[in-house]
Amino acid sequence: MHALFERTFRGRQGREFWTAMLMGGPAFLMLVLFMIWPFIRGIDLSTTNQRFDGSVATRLDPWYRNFDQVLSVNAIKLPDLPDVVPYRAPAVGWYRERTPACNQCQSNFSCDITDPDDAVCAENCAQICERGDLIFRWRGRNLDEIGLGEYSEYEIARQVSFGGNHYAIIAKDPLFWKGLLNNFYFALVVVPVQTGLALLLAIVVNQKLPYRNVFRTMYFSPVVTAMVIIAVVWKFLYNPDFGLINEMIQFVTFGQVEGFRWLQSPDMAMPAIMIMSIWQGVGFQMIIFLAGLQDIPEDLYEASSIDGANIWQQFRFITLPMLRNTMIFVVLTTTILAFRLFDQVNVMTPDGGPNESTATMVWYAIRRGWTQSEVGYASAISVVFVVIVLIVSLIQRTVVKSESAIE
Amino acid sequence: MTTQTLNEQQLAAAQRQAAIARAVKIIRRTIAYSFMTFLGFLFLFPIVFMVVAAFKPNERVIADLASIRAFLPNPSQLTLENIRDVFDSVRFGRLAFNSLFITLVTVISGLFVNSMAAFTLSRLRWPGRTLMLSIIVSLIIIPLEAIAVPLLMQVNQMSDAMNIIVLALLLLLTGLLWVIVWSASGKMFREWPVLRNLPEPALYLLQALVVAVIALPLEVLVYFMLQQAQEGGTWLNSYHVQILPFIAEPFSIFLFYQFFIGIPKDFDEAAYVDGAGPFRIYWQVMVPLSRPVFATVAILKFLQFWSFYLWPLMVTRGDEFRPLMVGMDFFQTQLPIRWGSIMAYAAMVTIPVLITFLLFQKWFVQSVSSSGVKG
Amino acid sequence: MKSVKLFVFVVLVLALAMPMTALAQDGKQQVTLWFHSGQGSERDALGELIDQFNAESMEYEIVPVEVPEGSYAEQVKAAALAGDLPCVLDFDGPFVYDYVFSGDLIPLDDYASEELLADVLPSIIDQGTVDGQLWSLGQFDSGLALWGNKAMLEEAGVRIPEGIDDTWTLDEFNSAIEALAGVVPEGGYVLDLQFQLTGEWFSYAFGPWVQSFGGDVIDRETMETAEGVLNGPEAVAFGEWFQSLFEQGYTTATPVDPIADFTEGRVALSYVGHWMYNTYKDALGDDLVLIPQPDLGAGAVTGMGSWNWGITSNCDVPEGAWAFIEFMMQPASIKLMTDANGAVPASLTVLEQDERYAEGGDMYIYSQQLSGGVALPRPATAAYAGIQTGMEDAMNAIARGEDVQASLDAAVDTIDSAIENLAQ
Repeated sequence: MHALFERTFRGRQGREFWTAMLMGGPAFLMLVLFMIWPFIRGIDLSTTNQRFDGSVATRLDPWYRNFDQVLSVNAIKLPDLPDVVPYRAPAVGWYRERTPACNQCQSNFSCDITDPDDAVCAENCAQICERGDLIFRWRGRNLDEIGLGEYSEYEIARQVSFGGNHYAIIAKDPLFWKGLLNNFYFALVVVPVQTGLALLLAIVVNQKLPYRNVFRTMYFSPVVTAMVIIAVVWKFLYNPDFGLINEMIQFVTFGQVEGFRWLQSPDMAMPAIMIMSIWQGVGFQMIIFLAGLQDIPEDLYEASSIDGANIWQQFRFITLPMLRNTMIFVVLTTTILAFRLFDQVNVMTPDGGPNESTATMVWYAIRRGWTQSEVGYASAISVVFVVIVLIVSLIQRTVVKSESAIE
Repeated sequence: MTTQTLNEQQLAAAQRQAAIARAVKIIRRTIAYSFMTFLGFLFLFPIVFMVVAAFKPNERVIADLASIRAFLPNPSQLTLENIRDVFDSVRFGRLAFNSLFITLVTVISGLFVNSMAAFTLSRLRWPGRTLMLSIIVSLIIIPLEAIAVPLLMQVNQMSDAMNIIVLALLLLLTGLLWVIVWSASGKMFREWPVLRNLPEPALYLLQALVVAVIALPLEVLVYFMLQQAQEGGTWLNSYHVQILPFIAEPFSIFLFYQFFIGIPKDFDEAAYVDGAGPFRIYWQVMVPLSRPVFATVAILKFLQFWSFYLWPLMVTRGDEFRPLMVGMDFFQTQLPIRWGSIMAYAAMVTIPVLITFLLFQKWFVQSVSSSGVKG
Repeated sequence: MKSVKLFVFVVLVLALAMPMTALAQDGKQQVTLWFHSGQGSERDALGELIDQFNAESMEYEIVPVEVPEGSYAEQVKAAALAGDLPCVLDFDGPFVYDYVFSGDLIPLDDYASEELLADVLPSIIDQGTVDGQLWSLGQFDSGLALWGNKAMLEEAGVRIPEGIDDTWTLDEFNSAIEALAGVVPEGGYVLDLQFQLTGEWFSYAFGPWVQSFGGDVIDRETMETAEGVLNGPEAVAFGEWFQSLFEQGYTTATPVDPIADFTEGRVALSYVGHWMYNTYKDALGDDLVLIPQPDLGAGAVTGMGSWNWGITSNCDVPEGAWAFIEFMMQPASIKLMTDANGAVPASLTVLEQDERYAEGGDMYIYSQQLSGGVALPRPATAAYAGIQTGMEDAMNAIARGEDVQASLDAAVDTIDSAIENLAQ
């Protein structure tokens, strides 16, 4: 023990140790103070009901209550549909959503579909109105009435029907799961598209053409715009009624396509955010690919064209393999960035978008922790989030390693 | 006779072929350029729109959307009204200074702190090194947003002990910065033809001046910290709360580390034989060899901290310490919403950075390509 | 070399000595103040009043800080946590319960003289009173009703109500909208509902409409839940009617510049508060009419309350803070403010003299609504932030066409969990 101590802290090695502490110390200490320690505190906070407003926090009983709230999911069979599905929601149970077409029909005939005795409506509008979605109204406090009382803390996250039966995936905090799925949706689209597009752009601006620098600059410029600023501009561009993007879509398609509701529509809100994110970020990956391309020796291409390889073969058998490391770097970093998605969501859809279609995990943690000042609960979300990102990067790294082993 | 005709025929054929080749080349280039221009339009139109709208009267911004006037304004309608409005509504100068100050101090001290850390990880042997390296690599995935709330609780109630540790750290950094800048500038000045012939004391004075200028921001930070520590145990609403937590950054350390392990050991062995200690090896051998990675990290970090939004929003109030990004909120909540002013503000934040990038873009691309940021 | 090192050392010592210079203070005591970044004219008027105060006062100097309205409540919370609240805090009416509950304010009873309070509009005193003590005072109350474009209303043949007694019924409101749809120009719409706003607007503006349908945003008897009132049949009826306005294209959830739309004649009715009076009056002149809140079934209801001033428990110089609030409550100061922003003056003296609020004045409707029992205070609960978020989300969801019942159920859950958090 003493010898080890001597070896470590005295002599040449000792001097190296102290120098390392002097030079690396500031960084290591700061990482501990401002990253590791807050993270550990976050873990600690996640087991309390800490709030922002200065009220005294207490340890939860059981300590994992927040985590239970975040993570609890279950699947149950919903009660069968009644013979006649009402148009007015019962205290708990099935009802049918009234569509705009149904409302239109009601006002045309000035009748009331929710009134079972209204013969006019039953005759004229029933067919139209029956196209409305079936919704199960789930009120925790009323679930006892239908024998599902034990699930009173849950909410419906998703409904599935098959074989005439209706099932529901229920979660104590569906918004968290929604955020998680949105994060994966974003990552699964943006990572490949952005990487592919970046590679394409890099190849395009790597051609030996005059003025290629001008184009490189063009493609890179969005990167130097600040996300929160440019997202405001894009929000304006995405406006469904006045927005430039819809105007351009109409112009290009000669008015055949009306354009989209973008940030107002549950289906298009996330794609709108994706497009904007790719637009803003792809230039940087392009530069990284460009660096990789310029490292590929020219003679490889010359040799292969003497052998009669065409452009595609050159790309497939020279460019791609030579860019392997670059590709790994780009994919790994883009994935991490994709999971951090927050700024553009917060600016363009501060409320999480229609049907929470743009809510992400980070957005949700900030909303609970900052806007609603539930620090303890937000910390639990953050801890789960970090664990998920850790798992994703571990998987990616394992895949990369196993591929290397095959080659 | 026949040979001559043949030759002429051959010549004609060759000319034809050359003409075809030229035509093919022209067509290919035309296609390539049109494609590239089309892409260029996709990348630029939001920015062009923003800049154009910044100079339009408020009502034209919306009225022009459906026409080409969104990009090509009617010159007679251009106005500086929006820009004036921005200056009237917020203290733009103050916000811009805050942004610049915070970003530059974070980036510059970050370069220094993180590269030193990477140096100790890649060049020095000490117990716990591999453990530290793997901790840093796994920290890369923790986003600030995930620790923002606990961090906020922490900086809100800094204990005296914590304040003293951080102050000591800052002083240590300032001291290290002095030593490095002092000797680096001394070496540089004595190699510079213009300055070399100056009398020795003048050179020292000049060195001291450079030291003062470069280390000044850190000293200002110390000043503010002391001032606030006097008033109570919170860091909120200050410059240092926006700077100190982000100086050390795992991804930067990782990039430096990657580059440093790629530098052959022979270089520092040679210096070591000459009797140089690790610190001298760091700044006399490694730093000059690593300019590209320094430039790359500097640019990456600049962009990151320049566009920092959430944290400044959480820790500052009013415009005393707020950066530009949070200043945008004023325009979005002041009624009536003036789109012209919003676009003007956005343009005023974006354009200077864009121009800086344009000036250095060639150099930047070179830096990234030789920095090894590619795995 | 030595001398240079000495020089560097001196620079360091000087750098470290600088904080000492910051300690020296000059004459007046500084009183910090936060205000929200609302509309331009209000900001200018406040700036002018602060300048006046600073020029007059020998003892105190007000140091104003503008905080964006979008995240105002969060900022206050964070500052309260940090013990970093300003002396004088500007906040929206309903938050008084929250701040009193959290101990962020001190009562004003010891400062406010009987004489001063006697001149204050009763609704302002009500708003600032919690548990029998007065915690805040505001310079004005808000007025909320429909601004109409007279020319368009007449063209469509719509009856313009004279006062709160002959206000539109739901059927009349509906047929007015339908008739107006025929006269709005291409690219316009009938009714502006200010959906570009965020935050408090939705509970302030549409809470009264829910009530006018017979629902409410919280059970006012127990203040313990919103279940059954915000998602009961009456509120659902409101939601369906509200949604139909969007479905039929009578209004828009994504306006870009609704103010210009109204001032430039593309919109016939604009549902917004008093704060647009000056802008609208300048643009429309005599064509501007104010239509009282319609009776949507259970009687007409309007929102009330506005931003007001309180002294925080963090304040070192409460006397200075009070001196400023007292100055702000002077009739002259109130008049300067309400002339600029068109709000209902909180001083009875000013209100009596103000022609705009007198019978026949442009905004007579507002004073009628405030004195005629139409105005319902926002619920007295510290969970008001939950009501705000819940209403904002629900109104936006309904406007987008999502299921009304489900949207309101979600709002109830948000509000109930906010109430639950308070109980903890």
